[in-house]
Amino acid sequence: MANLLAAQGGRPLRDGLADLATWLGVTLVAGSALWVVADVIWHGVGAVNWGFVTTAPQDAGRAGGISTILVATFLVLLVCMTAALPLGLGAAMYLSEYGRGPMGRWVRRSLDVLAGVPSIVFGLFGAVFFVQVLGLGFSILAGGLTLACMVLPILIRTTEMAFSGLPQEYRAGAAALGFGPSGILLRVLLPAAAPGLVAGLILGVGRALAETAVLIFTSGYVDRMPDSLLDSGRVLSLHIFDLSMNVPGGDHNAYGAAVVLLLILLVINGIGGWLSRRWIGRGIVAS
Amino acid sequence: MSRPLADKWFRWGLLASAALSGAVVVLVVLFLLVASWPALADLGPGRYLTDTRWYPSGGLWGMSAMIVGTLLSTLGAVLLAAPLGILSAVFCHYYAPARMATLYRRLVELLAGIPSVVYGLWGLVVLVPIIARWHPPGTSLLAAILVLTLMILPTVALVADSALGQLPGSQVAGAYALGLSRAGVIWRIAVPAARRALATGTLLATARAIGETMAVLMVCGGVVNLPTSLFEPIRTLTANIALEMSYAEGLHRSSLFVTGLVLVLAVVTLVTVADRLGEEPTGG
Amino acid sequence: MIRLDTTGPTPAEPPLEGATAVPHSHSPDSDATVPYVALDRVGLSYDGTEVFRGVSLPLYRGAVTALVGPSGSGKSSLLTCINRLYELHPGARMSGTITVGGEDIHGAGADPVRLRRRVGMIFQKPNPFPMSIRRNLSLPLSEHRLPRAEWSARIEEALTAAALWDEVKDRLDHPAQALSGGQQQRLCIARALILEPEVLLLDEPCSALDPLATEAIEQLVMGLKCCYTMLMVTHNLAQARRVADQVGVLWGQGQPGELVEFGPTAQLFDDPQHPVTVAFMQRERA
Repeated sequence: MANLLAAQGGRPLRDGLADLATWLGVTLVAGSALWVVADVIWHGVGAVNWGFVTTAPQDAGRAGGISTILVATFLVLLVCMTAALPLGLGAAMYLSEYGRGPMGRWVRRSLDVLAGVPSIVFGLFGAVFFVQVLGLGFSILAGGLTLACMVLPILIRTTEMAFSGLPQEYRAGAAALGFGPSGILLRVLLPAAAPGLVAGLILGVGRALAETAVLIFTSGYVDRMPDSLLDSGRVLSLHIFDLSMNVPGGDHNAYGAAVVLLLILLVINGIGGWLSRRWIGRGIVAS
Repeated sequence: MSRPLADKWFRWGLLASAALSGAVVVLVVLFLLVASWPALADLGPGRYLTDTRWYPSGGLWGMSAMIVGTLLSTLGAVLLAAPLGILSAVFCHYYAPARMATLYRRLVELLAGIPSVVYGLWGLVVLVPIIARWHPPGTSLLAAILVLTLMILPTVALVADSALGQLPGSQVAGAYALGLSRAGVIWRIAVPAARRALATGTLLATARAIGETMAVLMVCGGVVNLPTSLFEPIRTLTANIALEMSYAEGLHRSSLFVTGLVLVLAVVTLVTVADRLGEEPTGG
Repeated sequence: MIRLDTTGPTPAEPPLEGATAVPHSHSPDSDATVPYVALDRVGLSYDGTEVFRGVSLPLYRGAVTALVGPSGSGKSSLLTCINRLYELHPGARMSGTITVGGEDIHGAGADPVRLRRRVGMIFQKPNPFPMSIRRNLSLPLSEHRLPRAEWSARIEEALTAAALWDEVKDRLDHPAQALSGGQQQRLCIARALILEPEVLLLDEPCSALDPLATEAIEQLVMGLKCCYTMLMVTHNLAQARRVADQVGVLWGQGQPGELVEFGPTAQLFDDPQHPVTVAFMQRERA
């Protein structure tokens, strides 16, 4: 009885402290998040206008805009997705349909390890394998391909989940209509899994866009308009890094580029969400 | 092409893409090994720990300062991010009204989606000057810890959030029925029951902190230094690679690949342990 | 094209390439004497566990054969032997022989894809693909490389045969999954008919449907009877009695299923021979 009373006596204080700690912690987190976003927008939004997006950088980026950077970023993404999408789709189909054997287990484990590799290490790998061994040099092609290696695990994992989440009845139904394995996968399961595929693609593009460390030693620093995929090109995130670290007086345009980067990410995520909602809306109305 | 033949080719195509995807990690490790071999053979792994300083052109290969830099910044960030992340999840489940919880989750997701270079930019332009006013030079272990904390916090928060969400409601109701207060239910029942998932989230966050390059590179100062206080500049292993790779030659370059190899080993070990933890049932 | 009892006798269809199928004939006596599908001591095991064994069963053109029996006796698995769908299960092994139109389904040169085109299947749960109604029907046509010019005519024909045309003709491009359960099942029947099969396998096609939709499907099955060889699994004895011309009882409580009795519907219901059948009929009736 005495113990119980003692415990009750101490309780309100301790509970109050726990509540206080929670509210404090959350305020801190929310405050910091808003601080970062607000700071970037506050400093950067003044730099962004049509001219900023359409003119080439001048004076190491202090003046001018980011048109060439945007082109290089787009090309790197294009190379990355062109390489990673078919490969990832094929691998995901293999894993979801035939992946129960030792081969499937091995591929899954390898991808898990690959997902853990730090991005700077992908940069090292790309600098040796694509730049030197395959002789691509510092180029958009080398950067995009290295990036493809990095986004492969996330692409395959989301795609595989989309496929294996489909009801077994689709497979049996298609097989009973005389569809061969390729028909079942490409004509029935692929369209049915489309929303999941889009989500995976968006995730992959987002990761690739945000990435910097992979590209320092693969696609290079050159900020003029790339002539071809074998030309060096500087992506947006690397441009932000370079302006803020190596170019005195580059902060203003660095913030401008950061706002553009955040905007692109926001738009891509928005499109992804909209697309998959639309797809789901069309597929499973009132089922 | 006849259908059976087409199906055969199709299946081979799938197998080939799966094999190629699985082979990427083998290629990565293989080329890291090949490129770091000269350094491992000529210098031996011991030199990196026994040499006192990092001075490649002078034949000094000590990495201990950078290893300590990586460990301290990671440790500091995890010590801050883990409790904050868990508090965030607790807040969403037990404190916030539904709409506020959704809003807060969006905020954490936003935090997760910000590219690391943007964190670096913010750290460099906003955080570092503030620290510098207090205790120059500003670019410091503290700045690295704070920026890293923000970056890995969402990892802990999102994993903890889903772990608390999976707790059976009957457990929580039962605890309330025993007369426990809200804080009692949270800290004596819910959080201990989710401890395995919380550990998983923390390990994943640790792995992320160790491997993070750009944001840390931008605010840590880049000086190879065994820090004696939070305000001294440091250099992490990842920052070392990013800073020197562009001009390193020979053994120096090879040494950077050794660093890469060590990073892969550390991160992969952490992720594997986290996966193991995550596979087993929560609360067991 | 798709045969309905209202369309009257149609000329024999040219056999599919490589097939040695007997040409379609609608003279009742040839239907009655030569089974179009014949199962001879067929057994199936999953990963070494026998599901059923020793089933011999003749299926005639123009007749519905019902397969009844307690759940777990392997009725549905038996259906998947006839179109080789059991092969989707990696550990499944079939014994015995099945001929469709005189051709051994496992014989040299036999191909599951070609077989499944001749043997349509309707599943327990309606399984339209998550696409438009039209796409559900055109997909099999395009998979089997039928000329695009024929598509719309075939779609209309199949939907008419499945008694769905009037209900959906104005919304062919709406998602199939927005249809009601009964409509979905009729769409699945249309999807099977569009390939002009010779045999239809129906796996408890009404078990997920309400009584009204069930009646519609039963009507449909009886209307299709003239022109197809049909095997229907059902757990509903009254349904078997209404629809089927001959009935088989598959029995297996805790052990591999066996065909304990087989015969014309009236005989089986009014004068069952095997004690197991007698007991089963009584229990179901109660």
